[in-house]
Amino acid sequence: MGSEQIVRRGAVVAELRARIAAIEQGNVDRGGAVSLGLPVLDAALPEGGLARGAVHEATGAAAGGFAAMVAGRLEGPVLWCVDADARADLYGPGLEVFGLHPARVIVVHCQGRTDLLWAMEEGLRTPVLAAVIGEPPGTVGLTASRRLQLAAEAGQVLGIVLNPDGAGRFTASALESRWRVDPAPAGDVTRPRWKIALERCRGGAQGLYWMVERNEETGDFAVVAAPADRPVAAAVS
Amino acid sequence: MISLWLPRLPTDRLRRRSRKNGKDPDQRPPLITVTETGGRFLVTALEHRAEMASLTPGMVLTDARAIFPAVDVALADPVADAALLDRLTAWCGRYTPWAAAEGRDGIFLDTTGCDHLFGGEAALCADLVHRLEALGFSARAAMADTPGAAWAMARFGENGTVVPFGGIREALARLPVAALRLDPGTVGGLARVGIRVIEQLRNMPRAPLTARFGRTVGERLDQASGAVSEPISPRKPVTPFHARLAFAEPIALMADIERGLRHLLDDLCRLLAKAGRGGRTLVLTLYRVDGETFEIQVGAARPARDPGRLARLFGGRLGSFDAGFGIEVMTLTASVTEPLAPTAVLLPAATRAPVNGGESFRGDILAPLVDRLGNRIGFDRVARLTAVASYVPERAVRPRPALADAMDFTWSPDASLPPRPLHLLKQPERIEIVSDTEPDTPPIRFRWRRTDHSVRLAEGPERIAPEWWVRKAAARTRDYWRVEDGAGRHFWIYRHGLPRPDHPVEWFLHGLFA
Repeated sequence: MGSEQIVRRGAVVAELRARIAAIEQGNVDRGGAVSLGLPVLDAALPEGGLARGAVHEATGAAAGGFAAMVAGRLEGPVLWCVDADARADLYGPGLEVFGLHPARVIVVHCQGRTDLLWAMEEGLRTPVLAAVIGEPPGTVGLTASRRLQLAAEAGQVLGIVLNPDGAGRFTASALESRWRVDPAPAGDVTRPRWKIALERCRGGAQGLYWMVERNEETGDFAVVAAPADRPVAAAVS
Repeated sequence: MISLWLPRLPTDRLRRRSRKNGKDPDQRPPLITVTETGGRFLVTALEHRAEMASLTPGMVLTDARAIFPAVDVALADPVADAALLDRLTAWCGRYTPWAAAEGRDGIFLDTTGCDHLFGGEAALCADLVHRLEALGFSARAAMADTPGAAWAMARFGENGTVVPFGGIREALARLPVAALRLDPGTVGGLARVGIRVIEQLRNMPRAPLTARFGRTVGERLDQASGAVSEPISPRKPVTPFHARLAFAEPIALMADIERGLRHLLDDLCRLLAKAGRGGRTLVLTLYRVDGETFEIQVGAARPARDPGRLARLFGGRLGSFDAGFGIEVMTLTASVTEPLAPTAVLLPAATRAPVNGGESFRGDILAPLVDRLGNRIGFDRVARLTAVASYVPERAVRPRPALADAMDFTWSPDASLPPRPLHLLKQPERIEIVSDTEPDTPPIRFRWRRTDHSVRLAEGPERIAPEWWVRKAAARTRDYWRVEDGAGRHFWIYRHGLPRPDHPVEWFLHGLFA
């Protein structure tokens, strides 16, 4: 009798969890998900991949590479909004390493935050685009992130907000997920390693990280360390 | 051709200003403007009442004061006058797209094909003078087949004269020779030999006239009669793609202006379609009742003639002016056009077009987006990257307009090159070598942006020599290394120049790998 009750309670909890997940994800059609090319990473995401029609945030020093990698897995033109005042510029030949063909990329040099966020929003509302990537100077507040998310839902375009300094990590955000991609010491210069951490994900797991190695000759990614189901902070060596 | 003369432009400008400040200039003493020449003040312009008191331009100020002590004196400001003349030339766009400022106080208008809109040539002339007078300008206008004859009639003939076709000879006959736009010295010289009116001049043998007074006299005579054409450049280049809308009552509501714009766009797009062209740059000009004009210019990334799409380009820009007491005329001009095949149909924005994931995609599906971005951020800032055959990293890429026609967007990288960084610094930054080894290997520790980095791994060198055909004193051979620091970050650094004894080695950081 006692064990039966426990089983029933388990079923109720599972059902409630599913309902909460459905509420959290809303009723918006996300137009499918983009596989990250690594089954372990995809498995951690509620839709088996990075949700299209949503905006994700990437922090860490390798955030740009991560975004290029995601965009490279999609088909179609990519809008990349950069700050005109930044000291470094996006370099076409460097995109190829991540499987993103430079000819697919439209680069917009925006003057200031307002224009950049506006350009991203315009891009996200344009369904012919595959992805919109942008690096707004400063942090993206709750209102701005909500606007971006709504634009992405309207246009069914995948958006990635880059935040390499990791600033604003704890500000409220309406974005779908937050990733932290940092370079990690590798054994070979041509096999750079990333530590990819999923810090937050709506309706999915969080606090996971993976060590990923990239083979620059083939363009393949491979997980070299098993995910640790514990907070990222505790996992830092 | 209409010649418009504003004889009292400087004083009219000052009177208009004082009226704007709430004063009645007629209550003030007559106004004259003066300019300082050789320690004396000479009268340059004067208003009607001063002229009635037998003051004339060119008088010394003290003489003028002696004749008529109660005058208001202002310093002449030729720059402001020229700016006003330019604004008035723009205002004349309400009659014709072809208008050109002439000298310091004149405007030429070519109204060919426009006069029927105003009820004929004479009515147009009268309307022009009437409106300018209502705005507070003294104005005289005349129309003739040649600019020279119109100029002469505006200044020396009856105000509002329209010289009929073939009537120039007769109309000019009794006018003084000064009407031929001759300088005062020549006019004086002609007067000394007894030539005062144009008819006398016309009957003179040409050869001695040229020998005595130079070629200008004969040339001006021929220009006035039409024997020699006189090219004049309009203020704005004229395109045949021009639409105009005048309102019986001035409009001020944004909704009305938008509706007017739609009308103009429909007209313009019809003209463009007939010519098989599409607009790249559109200029909307709004003429306010009080003589102010506003220009709104928008650009399209690709030639377009879809009224709906063009209207969206104007979208946010219409609110940027003050309608004041209302807009009476709107004109729309396609100042830059490009051929546009009649079959070009834009895909509806909602369809996900079949896009080739690889090398290229059809640019026109992105045209609406690039238009919106370009009009706000600038078309030169919306770019696609193209490869340039150069091994020098900063020269290997060039931004191209995002949707430029006939562009080869294929990227042909050299597969044998090592991978390139994702970000390239706009200006290579010098790094400080904390701990050095041999001159031919990368440093063990370096400092960049006040942070120390120790080099764990390095790959290189990749030697990139300067292009000898690009002459640049600073160009030196660079040895590039890709180095990884203790945290796993990858940097692209290079040694500037070949190592030489008793010469410090310089290192720079050029790129960041992600």
